[in-house]
Amino acid sequence: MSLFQIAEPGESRVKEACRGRVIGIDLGTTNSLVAVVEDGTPRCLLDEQGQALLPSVVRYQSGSPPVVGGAAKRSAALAPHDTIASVKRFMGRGPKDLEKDGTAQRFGQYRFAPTPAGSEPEGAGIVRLLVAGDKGPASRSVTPIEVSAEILRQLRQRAEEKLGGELEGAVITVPAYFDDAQRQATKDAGRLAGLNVLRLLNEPTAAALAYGLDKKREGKFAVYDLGGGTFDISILDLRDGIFTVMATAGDTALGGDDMDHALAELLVSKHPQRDELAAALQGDAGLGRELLDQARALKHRLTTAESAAVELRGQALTVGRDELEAAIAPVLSRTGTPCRRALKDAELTREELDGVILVGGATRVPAVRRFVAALFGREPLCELDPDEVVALGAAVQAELLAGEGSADSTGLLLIDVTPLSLGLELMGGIVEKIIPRNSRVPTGARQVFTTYADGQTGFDLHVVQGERETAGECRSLGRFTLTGLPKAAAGMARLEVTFLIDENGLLSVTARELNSGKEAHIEVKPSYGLSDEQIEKMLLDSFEYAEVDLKQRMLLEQRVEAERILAALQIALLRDGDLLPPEERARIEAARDALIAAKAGPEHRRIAECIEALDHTSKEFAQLRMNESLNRAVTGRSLSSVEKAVHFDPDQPSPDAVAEPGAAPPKPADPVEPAEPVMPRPSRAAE
Amino acid sequence: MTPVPSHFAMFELPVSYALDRAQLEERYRERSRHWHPDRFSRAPAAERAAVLARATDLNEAYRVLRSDARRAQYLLQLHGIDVTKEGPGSKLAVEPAFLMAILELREELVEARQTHNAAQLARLAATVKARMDELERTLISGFAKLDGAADGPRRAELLGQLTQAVLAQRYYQRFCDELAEYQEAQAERAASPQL
Repeated sequence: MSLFQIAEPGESRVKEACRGRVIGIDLGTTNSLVAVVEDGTPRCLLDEQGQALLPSVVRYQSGSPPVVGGAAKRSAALAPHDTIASVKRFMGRGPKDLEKDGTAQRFGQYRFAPTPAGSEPEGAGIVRLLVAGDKGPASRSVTPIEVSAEILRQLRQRAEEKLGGELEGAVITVPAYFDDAQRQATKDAGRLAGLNVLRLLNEPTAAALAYGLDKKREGKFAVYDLGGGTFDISILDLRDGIFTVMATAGDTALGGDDMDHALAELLVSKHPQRDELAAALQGDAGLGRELLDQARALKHRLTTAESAAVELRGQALTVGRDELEAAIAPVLSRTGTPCRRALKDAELTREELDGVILVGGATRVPAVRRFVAALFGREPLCELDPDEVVALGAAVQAELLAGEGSADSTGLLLIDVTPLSLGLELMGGIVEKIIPRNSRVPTGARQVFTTYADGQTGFDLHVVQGERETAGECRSLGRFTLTGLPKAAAGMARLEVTFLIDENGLLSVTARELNSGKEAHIEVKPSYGLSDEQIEKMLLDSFEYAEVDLKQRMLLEQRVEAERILAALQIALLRDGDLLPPEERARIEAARDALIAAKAGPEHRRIAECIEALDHTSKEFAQLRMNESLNRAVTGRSLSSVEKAVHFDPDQPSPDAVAEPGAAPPKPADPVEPAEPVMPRPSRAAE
Repeated sequence: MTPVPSHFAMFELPVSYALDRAQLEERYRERSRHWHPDRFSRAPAAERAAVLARATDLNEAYRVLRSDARRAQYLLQLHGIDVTKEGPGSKLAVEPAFLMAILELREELVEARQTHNAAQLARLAATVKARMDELERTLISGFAKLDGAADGPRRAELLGQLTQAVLAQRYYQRFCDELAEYQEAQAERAASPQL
């Protein structure tokens, strides 16, 4: 997670020796492309067969280098263990992730290397695939980063051949929802492929860039990006050459694949022997594959035809476009929720948009276009090839970055946002959001922590990304261990931790001890937490369950708050209760008992109200105590002895004893303050 | 702990609640052009680090100033008042009368939700909107007076009033957020094909 890469010797040599061409790469789940800007116009580079699309498939073999692209894809059935497709799904993921979301099962043909036992924290580590190597089958273990690098290398070579000579650098696109680990993995793959990665660019943003440049359009646009397995929506403002992303949202478990599945079900239901077919599907992976292939073919043909027929197990089945549209309707309606959320985050209504841009192969389906038109109340724009538009935009951005040397202050500029909120895990698993989603990048946050124990020299911080209120439901990014604080009394050492998300969406963390100004040592244990689908699902869930979550969080917080206040009151009553007239004391005790009752209940607001009420009721008492302590000071009792009396009062009951007045005998010598949280509540430095 | 330079100084704007939005927008864009990391992708690491820090501060300053509520909070913070520290036991507490008023509104909200009373919800929204508009006027005139007030009891009094107004604004905002969330959830359930 280092923010500034230290220039490696090789890298600087390349930079100095070669002011070469820059390229844009769309590293896709199914297909990848490379594009370049020539004479101010971006275009995709074609392979020897005149194809722009490179299937994102890598086949490993013994005794020769891997094969990438169409050939590997076509021969997949021959070497199912050694042919890796959809590797994008494994980027930045740990073995535990794959087990959790069933990716490992869906990709059953792959052999995953076992996790080194015991050494890693839960969910950490990196996925490894066993493929053919020089020592025979399954003799080589590769990471998704290496597999992606093979694809990128192929595209780099294509570009070098077509453009003649070495490249200066590349912009690589990533889904807008990609988190820090996935972005980092993508960047590493680029470097592994021998590319100087100038920038990671969000796919919908790239698409908008291509449109903006191509059509010289200005205004506010929505980019509706429905790919093979993912859905992204971004709202952008294009004005005076500055592209500002206003908001982004999405769903990683939604795409063309889901339409294929819906169509496959339709085909089975239309088959005369549907029950036999359904039974056969249970045990026959080959039949399932065939069915999905037929469904996809049907989807493509129905893009232009009103009806089409396919053959399934000797039976011809005719499907009308209206049937297809009914089958995929649920998939489409699920894209509506992220669209609503993005518009809301951008503080816009659909009428304020100037256009909607379609991206992704799945947007070729006429029903998708009609759905988008109805959703946004206008015809979507689709002049550019939805498969190519992301790569074209990446090329535009690469050219912008390469052009910065000319100090051209009138050129285009891109201001993007971070798609997921960044948070810290607090006591009780609650997440404190420190950088909200859709913050413009680069963005940062500073938090000041104080020690909670005498002589404490370090902290553990757990950083997560996501919108849910508890850490367990967000994606874990890493655990940071901060050490080297000077030994001091509790609360004396103050540690300022700075979180920074750069223009690529990559996180870095630095820490400084405020009293000494010393940089603290940070040890990072990156964890790859959850799957992409889960992240986006989480985002959606958090929207659906926001109220439950928030309540849960508030309840936990209010209970802690109530505990603190009850304990303080108990001490005050024990010490100075005799100052109170009986009726006053009765009122306070009634308010206290109300709080105790509320605290046991599920309503955080009720607790807050009772806290307020108790606070209000005991104001007089606080005043009396203040006067009394002044009197004591005046009459000769030193304050320190008063303090001592408070802290070592043998009659001090534990806060628990307060909960049931008179029930249990007070336990002696419990800490006066309620137990400090495992992680202290951070106090904000700036805001 | 005032950040240096202040968010206002970053845009060469006067430290004031009154804001020329067009000017802020224009200056943000102008400075972003200048300080965006993309413009320095070939610069040495130290320079890139400096630019990144600058761009981060710029985005933060813009985020704070652009929002009326955050700008008001920030102005109070410049006067040493951190309204985020509000709560039981803190010196920063809303007046009991206000608390009663908001509790009543809350009860009404709960009732309206339970009975799915759309008319009542709309009435509540209108009531809160009117109160927030009034608070906005209080803030505008209050901060304007504060600019001209010399140190002394008058100034302290003004700051007290402004703090109350900002705290109240926070309560109403939370109320509005909850109301909006509920209404959205309803709209989502209705599953209209439109946005």
